[in-house]
Amino acid sequence: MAFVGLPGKAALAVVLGNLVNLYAALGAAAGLGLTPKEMSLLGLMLLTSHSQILEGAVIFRVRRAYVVLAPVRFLLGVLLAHWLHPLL
Amino acid sequence: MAEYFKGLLSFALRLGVILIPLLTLLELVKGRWEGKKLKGVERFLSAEAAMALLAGLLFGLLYGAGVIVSSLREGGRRQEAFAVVTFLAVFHSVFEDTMLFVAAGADPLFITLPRAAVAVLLFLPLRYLLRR
Repeated sequence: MAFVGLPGKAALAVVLGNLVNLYAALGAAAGLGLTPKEMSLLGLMLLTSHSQILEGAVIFRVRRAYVVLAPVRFLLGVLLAHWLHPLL
Repeated sequence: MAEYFKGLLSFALRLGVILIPLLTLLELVKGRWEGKKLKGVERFLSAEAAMALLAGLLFGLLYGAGVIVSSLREGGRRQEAFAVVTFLAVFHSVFEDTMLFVAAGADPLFITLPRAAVAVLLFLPLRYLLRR
């Protein structure tokens, strides 16, 4: 998790955010005592890639092949957090 | 422990104060939008695709799913649909999701601008360069 500038404990919020939804992620993050900087990074990462199962279903309904966007989103979220974490 | 629950409760209250009016407002607006088309944007996008883009931006992929799926499946071209879905996959639900993390202490510009930039950078080539 140092790759994206977050402490290891934030992994729980990232996993919950991606597999369930943002509310689950925030519920997990609220108890971790993250600093505002870490919250911003977690936010950037999770807002890019979240609720993959539910939102994937919506994208699947538009056209089946578009589900390729799910891993793309996750990768983009990780890369954005990696590139921008030195700025904070 | 009491401190922890106090923190959790105040966070929940803050979320409620921000999100209840916001979601009520979005729900009211959405009710008037079902089945409508956006006019005057045909130079850039078909009316259907533009409507899907706007609904996704404001309501998010889940709450806007009705408008997005129906308008992208019925009207518009494939090329355009993929560009719109790609944009929305990276950047959607501007108000709700942003406010969630702002309530948790994140910087609103830091969590919005990079995603918007990436979404536009993906959208433009998909929309204009790969045109058939």
